[in-house]
Amino acid sequence: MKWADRLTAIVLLALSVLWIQLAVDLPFPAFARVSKMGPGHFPIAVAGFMAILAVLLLWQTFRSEKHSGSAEDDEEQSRDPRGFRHLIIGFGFFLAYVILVPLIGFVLASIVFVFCFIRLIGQFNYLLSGALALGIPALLWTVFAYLLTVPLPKGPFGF
Amino acid sequence: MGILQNLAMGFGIALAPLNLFFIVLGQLVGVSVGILPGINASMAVAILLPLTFGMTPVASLLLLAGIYMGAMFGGSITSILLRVPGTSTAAVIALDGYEMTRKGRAGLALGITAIGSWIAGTFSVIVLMSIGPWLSSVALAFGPPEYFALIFLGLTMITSLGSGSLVKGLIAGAFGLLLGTIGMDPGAGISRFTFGILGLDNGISFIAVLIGMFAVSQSLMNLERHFSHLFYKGKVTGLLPNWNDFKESFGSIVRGSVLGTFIGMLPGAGATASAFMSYSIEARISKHPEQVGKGDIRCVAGPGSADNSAAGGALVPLLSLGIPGSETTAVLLGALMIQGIRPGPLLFSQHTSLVWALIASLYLANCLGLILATAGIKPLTQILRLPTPILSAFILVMSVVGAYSISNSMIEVWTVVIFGIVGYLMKRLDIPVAPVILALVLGPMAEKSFRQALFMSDGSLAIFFTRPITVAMLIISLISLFLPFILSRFKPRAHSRKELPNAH
Repeated sequence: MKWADRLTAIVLLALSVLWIQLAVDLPFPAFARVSKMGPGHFPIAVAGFMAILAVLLLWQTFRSEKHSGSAEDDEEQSRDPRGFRHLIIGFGFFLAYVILVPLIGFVLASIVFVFCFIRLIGQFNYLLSGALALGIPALLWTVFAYLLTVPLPKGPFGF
Repeated sequence: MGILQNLAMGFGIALAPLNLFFIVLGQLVGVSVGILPGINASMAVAILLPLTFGMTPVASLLLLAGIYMGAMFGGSITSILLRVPGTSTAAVIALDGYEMTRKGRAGLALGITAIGSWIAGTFSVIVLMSIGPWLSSVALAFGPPEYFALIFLGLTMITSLGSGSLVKGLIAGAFGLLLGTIGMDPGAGISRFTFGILGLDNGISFIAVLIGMFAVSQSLMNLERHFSHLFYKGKVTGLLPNWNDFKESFGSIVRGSVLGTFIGMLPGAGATASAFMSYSIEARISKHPEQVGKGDIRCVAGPGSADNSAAGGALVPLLSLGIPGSETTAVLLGALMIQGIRPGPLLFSQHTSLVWALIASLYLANCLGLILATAGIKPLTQILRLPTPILSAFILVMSVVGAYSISNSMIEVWTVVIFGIVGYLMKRLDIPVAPVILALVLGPMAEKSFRQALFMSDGSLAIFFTRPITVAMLIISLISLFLPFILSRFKPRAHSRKELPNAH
């Protein structure tokens, strides 16, 4: 966890610096002179605070050499050994799905996504995977597109 | 007599057939969500929020409040029967609850939890309706400096009372504040930190962040975990406690109710903390300490009541001040904002019927919980048979449709994806997620009132140090920041968290 915390601290520090940099360049409107506070002041204060916290986190990782790992160990045990593979495959499918939605439409993309997800991660048979791949998008399409009249993205086939 | 009249009006609205339907639906969804491992109330509410676009404000609030209350009870069902807490709140109930099941007293454990929840829920609603209107009338006199101090107080309590590491809690809060600065600034309308993305001018969509952080990130976590599908095969009988059992646990229920209500009102502490505190109080004052941890009914009744009354108590700051004190109330705040209702001190006077319908619906939800518990525990536990991958696929597709329907654009969908990853990383790094959501909501409110206050004082910061209420609240904020340090010195070491079953 220590290296992860260090990396987090560095990313947060970079984020704070970016925020301060951008905030300094913001214009200061004339009427804001009354309150002596422009659009950049609050973000600078927050980003400054974040920078202090990031440094504190970094300092903590160096200070607590013997990090008590009991909580992490417990968590590791309950984790599935195939877990990481599932995570990568599952997230990959999800990402591909989001990219596909505007290209081939919500209905088609969802059918493909649900089928692949349930078949490969749930290891269910083709019949059940197929039935759910039709059922879940149909249900959500009915609720959102039909009942709530949301104009969901359509594919080249008009649905 | 005003309160009783308002309450009667509230019941009139809540009992209208369609509204009653939404309360029952919410309760059923809530109990299911509580039972299912890997799903919690915030997640359910987050993915259901987009559905409420098309509803009336009353209906949407009743549905969400029903989910909220139902999940509390649902979580304790699997805790008691299977030692698998459906929610983190219910983890402590599993300690003695499961022992009772092993002794063949499962029915009694469930029954006393249901009755305790009902008494506790009712108590917290009574407190809500007695001090809510009073608190909001006090807050009506607040100017921008007081309002800023109040929000600041909420922010510090949320970030400091939340989790283990204070620094990480504060980081989560600061991250939420940073996200809140994206978009037009609240004073001059100058666009900030949008990186040229047009859709970000109105700020990052709160609902999209919510869906990403609660629904998508949790689905990713679930992918990594293996859920052992346990089923309860025994019979659940004897739900209704006899007079002796009831007499034995009544004191615990009352203590749990009072404790939960007032802990729930504090921002950040919430249901889980109150259930833990109730357990340690019951364990300490028990006349038979040898029974604690071995199926003591009082150690089930106390926490089982405390978590429910905390849920009601958390509504006090939300409805009277517009400050959400927990992640679930932050989500309810989002639901109100979707409907164009600005929560705050004016809520009680401007949306009287809405507030009282909500209060009445909480009463009804409590009664429904009792009916569900006595009639439907066995069929309800069958929900556990639903395989996790199917559920995850459904939640992910629903997240995408829901996010798209926020503004009919893919920007919100990508926000969901990004915050799904961020939320996942935060959970892996032990950084709490809830403060991000709360700070994202409270940040712009804080900046606005801070700048309004400086307009009043011609830019002098002295305005924050010369008004008594403001000073008092700022001092309390600072104390609350250091409170975890002080509390950690008095932490009871009797039962370490290691003994607790992992909450899913």
